[in-house]
Amino acid sequence: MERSLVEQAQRGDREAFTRLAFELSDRLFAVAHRILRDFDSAGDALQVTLLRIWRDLPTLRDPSLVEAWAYRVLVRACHDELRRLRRQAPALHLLAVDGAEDDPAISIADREQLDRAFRTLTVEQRAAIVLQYYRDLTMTEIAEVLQVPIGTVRSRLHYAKRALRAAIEADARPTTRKGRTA
Amino acid sequence: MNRERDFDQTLRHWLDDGADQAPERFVWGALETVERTAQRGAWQASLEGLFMKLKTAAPYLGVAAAVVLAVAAYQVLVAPNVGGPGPSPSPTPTPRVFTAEDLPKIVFNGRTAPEGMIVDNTTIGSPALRVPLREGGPDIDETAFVDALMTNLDTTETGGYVSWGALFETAADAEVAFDFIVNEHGSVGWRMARSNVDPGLGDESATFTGAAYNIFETNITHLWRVGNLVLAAVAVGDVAVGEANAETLLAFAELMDERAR
Repeated sequence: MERSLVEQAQRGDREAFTRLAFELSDRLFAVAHRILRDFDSAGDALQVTLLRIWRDLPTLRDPSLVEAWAYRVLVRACHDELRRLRRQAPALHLLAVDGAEDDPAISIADREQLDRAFRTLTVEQRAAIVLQYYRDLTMTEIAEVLQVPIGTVRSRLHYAKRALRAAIEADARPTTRKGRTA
Repeated sequence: MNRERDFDQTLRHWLDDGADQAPERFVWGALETVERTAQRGAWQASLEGLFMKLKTAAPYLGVAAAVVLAVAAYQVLVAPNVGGPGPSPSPTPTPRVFTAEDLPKIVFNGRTAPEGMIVDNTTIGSPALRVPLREGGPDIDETAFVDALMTNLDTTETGGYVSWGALFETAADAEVAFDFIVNEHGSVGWRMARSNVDPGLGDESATFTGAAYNIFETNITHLWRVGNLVLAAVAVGDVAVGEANAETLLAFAELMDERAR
């Protein structure tokens, strides 16, 4: 990320911010999509995030940390978005990720189970999983993004993974009984 | 171990499914709103941060605050006046052109803050210039802007001090900026009133009191200009309450003013 671009945007240069927004958007949207498991909700979270980034950019002390800071703002926006969705329609969007293609490496049943179990996690746990397994961030980087101690990240990952693994393992038995042939 | 690795692999494959590109309509939608939205003044944000920090630290700061205040009051009220004529400022003999190197010598920081006062954070450059600007208000002209520095100095559990300075190319440019900031503070958005008493700082000065920033109900702000430099000393929250603290702030401002001469 070009430091001068961030600095220009910090000074209120809207053109610079437009460029910055387009540079960040793909990564932010991809992470939001994986946290929220819904295309339109991810879009809403992205919009809120970009607006908050613009509004609060002058307060960012080190422009080189803009991406980590943007993820932090995004996770908060995802949190708000999920709360809004739950208030509006509790049973909404229990679907697979829009646009997901079949991946031969994971069975359809596993994917469905993972998806269902993932939705039971808190946004903070989801964010830790996505940042580690999708964005490949280290524990230290995740701690920096989420502004929590490394121990907290470790514990969030531990409980999240345990829930996800349990979902797959629990699925193995009933699936076999059903024969998966129907 | 293999089971663990397999599961991690499954997780990675599962997370690979999903969108990798943000549809432009979402980005443009946000940018349209950005067009109508002002950036948040760093002043407000830093005060919010200070407030939260002080709130969290409140149980530990109770006793320390009294000590810090006493030491600070001694440093700024008693020490500078020893052997001197008194607090009333004398007229500036010759106009001086300040450079960016002078800013940290005048605006308090970790090294130059009165002894016993704790520097909470520092903001520099353009974001610091924007500190005295309110959200949604008109933007300051940065054409002749050179540099700015702001520090928060916390002294009690429910308030704090701000030391701020902005440098402009010429005294005339600073005069324009000073008028702009004074007008902003006097505008309805700030909920502050200009005091009838001129604090007598620098070449021209003004004092505002009231409930600005929507965080602390009580604030005292001294704004003044010395040559091509615009300065501010602010007390927010509990430190701004009461005559004694108003005096401490004025002494705080006078110390900055003295350093600018």
